[in-house]
Amino acid sequence: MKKTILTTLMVFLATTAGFAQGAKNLKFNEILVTNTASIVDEYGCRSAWIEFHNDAFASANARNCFLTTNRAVLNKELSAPERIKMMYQIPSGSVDTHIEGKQKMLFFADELPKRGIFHTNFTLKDSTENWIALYDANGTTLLDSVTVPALGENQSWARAKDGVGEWRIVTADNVTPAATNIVEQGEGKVAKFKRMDSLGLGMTVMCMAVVFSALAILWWLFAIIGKIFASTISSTKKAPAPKAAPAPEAPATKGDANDEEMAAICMALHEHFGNVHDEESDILTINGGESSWRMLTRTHANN
Amino acid sequence: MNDFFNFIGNNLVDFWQYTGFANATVGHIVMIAVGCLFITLAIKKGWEPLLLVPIGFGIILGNIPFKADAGLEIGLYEEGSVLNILYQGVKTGWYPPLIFLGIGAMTDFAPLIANPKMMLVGAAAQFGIFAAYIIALLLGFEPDQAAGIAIIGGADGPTAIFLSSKLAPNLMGAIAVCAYSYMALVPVIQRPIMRLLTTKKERLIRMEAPRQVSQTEKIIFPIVGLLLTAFIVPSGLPLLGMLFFGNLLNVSGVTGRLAEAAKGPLINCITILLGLTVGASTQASEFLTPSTLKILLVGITAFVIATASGVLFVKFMNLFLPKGKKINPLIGNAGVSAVPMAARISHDEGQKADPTNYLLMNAMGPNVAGVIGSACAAGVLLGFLI
Repeated sequence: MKKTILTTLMVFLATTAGFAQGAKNLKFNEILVTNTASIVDEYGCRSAWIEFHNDAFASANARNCFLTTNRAVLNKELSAPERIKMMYQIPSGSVDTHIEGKQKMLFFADELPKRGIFHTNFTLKDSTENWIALYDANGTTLLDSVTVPALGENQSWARAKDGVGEWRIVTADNVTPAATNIVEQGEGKVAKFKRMDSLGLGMTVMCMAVVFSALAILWWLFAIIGKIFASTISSTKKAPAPKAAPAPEAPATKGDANDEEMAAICMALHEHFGNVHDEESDILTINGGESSWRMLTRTHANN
Repeated sequence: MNDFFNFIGNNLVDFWQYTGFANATVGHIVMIAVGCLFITLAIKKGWEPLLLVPIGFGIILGNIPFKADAGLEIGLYEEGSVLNILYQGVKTGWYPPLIFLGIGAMTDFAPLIANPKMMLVGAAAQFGIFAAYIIALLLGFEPDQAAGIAIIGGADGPTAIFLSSKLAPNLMGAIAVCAYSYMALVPVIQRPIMRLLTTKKERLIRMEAPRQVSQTEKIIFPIVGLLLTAFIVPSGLPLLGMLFFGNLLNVSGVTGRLAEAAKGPLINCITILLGLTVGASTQASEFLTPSTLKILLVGITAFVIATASGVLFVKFMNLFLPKGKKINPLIGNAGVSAVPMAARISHDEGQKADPTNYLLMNAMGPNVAGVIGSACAAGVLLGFLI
C-alpha cells in the first residue's frame, strides 16, 4: 500500500513538473497598441503586436493555445466550446509555434488570421484600456492575462524583466519587439573584476572563504554524525554476547584456522596474485551454508 | 600519349598537395614530437598512462597536416567531422561530469567521513588555484582566462576542462594538456616540497588508523555532501552532482551494477574520448603560442603552491591539536585532488622516514576532500565570472 502511494506521488510530481515546462510558462511580455513606427509584419504592414516570453529554460509550444481580448470568457458558467468561439486559436501543424527556453514570440493583432499563424482574429483598441488573455489548449485554463492601459503612439506596455518583472510604459525609442526587455549596457562581470580587482586579491579572499565555509560546514556536520555513529558502533561492540547455545561447529584447533578458513584464504590469495576474477556475490564468508561450491564438493565426495 | 602522362602527372601533383608532407610545418612536427613524448613517458615511465596515451595520440592525430581548404571534413574544428562530433563532449562540457560520476563510484570517502577535519586540508590546498589566478592576472590574462588557467592548481583534469570550456574555450587545449601533464608529474613536483617544508620529527608523526565507518554514514555522506555544497555553490552542480551520485551508487549496496558501469565501462569510454579529443585540440597553430608557455608556468606554480598550502596548513592545525592527536604534515600534499596518486606520495614519503608508518588511509581523507574542494572552487569561479 505504501509503495502504491509513493509511486503515485512520484508519478504525480513527475507529471506536474512536465506540465510546468510546457505552455504554462508562456507569459505576456510586451504589448504595443498603436503601431505607426514600430516593427512591420511580413506584408510590410504595421499593426498592434503582442509578445510572449517562455519563462522556462525548456522549450514550449504555443500550438492550440488561445488568445483573446473578450472579457466574457472569464464567465465560468460558459462551456469550453462557447468560450473557444470568443478566442483566437493559435494553429497547430507548424514548427513555428515552438518557442525555445527564455525566447520570445510575436503576434500581430490585425484581425487578419489568414495572413498566417502570427496574425490574430482580433485587434487592439487605440487610446483605451485593453485586456488580453492567454488560455491553454483546453480553452479553460488561464495561463496569463494583462490589462494594458491607454498608451500613446508606439509606446509599449512591457515588463521590466522578461516574464516576471513589474509592468511599465516604455517609450517609442525603447520598445523591444521579439527581443529581451532588458538591454544591458555597461561593463560585464569580467570587465568589472578587471577594473575593481586587477590583482585578484578580492577574488582570492571571496573564493577561499566560500570553499572553506562549504567544507568547514561539511566537517562540522560529519563530526556530529560521526560521533553519533561511532558511539552506536562502540556500544554494539561492547554489548555482552547473549548466552546462546554452543556454536554448532567448534574450531578445529585452538588459535588456528580450520580447513574451510584455510581454503578460503588460499583461494583469495590465489585470485589476488593470479589476477583471477569471476562473477561472485562480493561476499567472502567462512560461515557454513548452501552454495554451488559446497554442492560440487559434496558431489565429488559422494562419487 | 603525352596528354595521358600530363594527366597522370597533374593528378600526382594534386595528390601531393593533399598529403601531409606537402602541408607540414615546423609547428606540426614539434607537436607530433610532443605527442610522441607523452606516449613515451606514459609507457616507459608509467606516468598516468590512462591519460597520457590517449592525449599523446590525440596530439599526433590533431597535428597530422592536411590541406585545410579541401573540404575533407576531417579536422577537429570542422563542423560535422567525426572528430568535431566527438569534441562536442569537451566543448559543451559534458565529458567531465561523466568522468566525475566514475570518480565518485570509484572513490571511498570512508577515510574522510572517519576524520572529517581533513576537509579543511582539502580546502587549504585549493589556495594553489587562487594564487595561480593572481599570477595569471599579473601575466596579462583576462580574469576569465586567468580563472580557467588557475584551476590547473586543483590538480583535477576534468574540472580544468569543465571550467576552461566555459571561461576560456580558446585556451582549453593548452590548459587540459598542462593539467594532465602536471598530474602525471605530481610525484616529481610534490616530493621535494614536502621534504623542504617538514622536519624529520614531523615526518615521523604517527596517526591513528581511521575509525570504522558504518554503511549508513557512507550513504548519508553523498546526499548531505551534495545538498550542502550545491546549495552553497550551485554553479558546481554538474561536477558535484555527478561525483556524489557516483558515490551513492557505490555505497548504497543495491546499485552494484550501476556503480560497476560508472567506474568501469563508462569512465573508460569517456576517458578515451576525452583524452583523444583534448589531445587533438592542441593543433600547432593554437598551441604553439606564448600563451601556452605562460600557462605552463602558471600551472607548475599552482601545483607548487597547492602542495605547500596543504602541508603548511596541516602544520598550522597541529599548533592547536593535543599531543597524540597531531597530524603528519606529509598528508597535506594530498589536499590537491590527484586521487589517489597524491595520497600514495604521502604514504611513500612517510615510509621513507619510518618504514612502519602507514599513512595511506589517513592521506585519502584530504585527497578526496581535495576533489570536493576543487569542484567547489570551479563552481565559485564560474559563479563569479560567467
